[in-house]
Amino acid sequence: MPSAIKHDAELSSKGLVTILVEVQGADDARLEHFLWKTFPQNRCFSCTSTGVPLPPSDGIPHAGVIGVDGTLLWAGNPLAEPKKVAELIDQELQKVKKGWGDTADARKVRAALYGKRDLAGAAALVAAMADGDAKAELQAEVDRRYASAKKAVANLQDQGRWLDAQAAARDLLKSVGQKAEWVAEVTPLLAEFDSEQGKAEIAADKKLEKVVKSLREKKLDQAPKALQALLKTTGETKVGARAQKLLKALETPLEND
Amino acid sequence: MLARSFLLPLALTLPLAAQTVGSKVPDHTFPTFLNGDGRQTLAEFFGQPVVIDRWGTH
Repeated sequence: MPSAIKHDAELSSKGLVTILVEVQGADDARLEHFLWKTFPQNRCFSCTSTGVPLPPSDGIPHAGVIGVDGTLLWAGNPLAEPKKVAELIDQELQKVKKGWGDTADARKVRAALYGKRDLAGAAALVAAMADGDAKAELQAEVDRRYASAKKAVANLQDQGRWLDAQAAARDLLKSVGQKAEWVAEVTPLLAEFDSEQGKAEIAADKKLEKVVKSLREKKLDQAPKALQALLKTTGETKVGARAQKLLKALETPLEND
Repeated sequence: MLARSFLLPLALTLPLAAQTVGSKVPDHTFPTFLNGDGRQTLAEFFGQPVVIDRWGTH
């Protein structure tokens, strides 16, 4: 765990995604409380689950490294082979940066799409390719990446993370450049943040972020009182629901409390 | 904490399907992430390396 959190802190900006899956049956509230108490600096994607698409194991910790193209590259105890894991991650991050594939076109498109996060640039490179299977495959990757980014904005809003959603929408608008079809779809997403509802959600999220900041500073004991005060002002917002969930988590006892 | 974790029933740590190194990992939808970026499926991470770390809170 600590090594995964450390890797993620160092390498997520270069494209690494680290998913921590709790497999001992904790519910969401227990997991959230445990993470804030034990690993307040954790920024890995973290969830509860009893099933993950990895080979069987006799116990934990157990991890898998999945390459940029979705291939399982390694699985095992991450404490047993830390160097191997680090080398594989570095190898795959080079692919993110430089692109990968059998042709120069594929490498250029993927470097733009995944390395530079430049949807418009990737789309222009694909458009310039000769028609055929290779072009169709890369076009599908560009389309999937765009659809995923757009959906992510809505998901973050639904999860009460409006500041993150706004940042994601701004990044998306920047990434789609001047491509009219995409600009026409992304611009309304950004406009939502200027609506009355959007303003209320953003205002509430700014208050909640102060509580989250205090949690990252290990001020766990102060958070419930701050959340109770916050909930008197958030009304029926998505952010309010998230604050309520966080309060419930922090009130969930851990065995060693 | 880690010592206890090895005593847990295997059922809690079973994978969805047996995968082998070198094979493509099937898509998987995760529960809502803490600290996520709005993406919820493995397929949406295509183009980036993914480390999945199975661990426990007990």
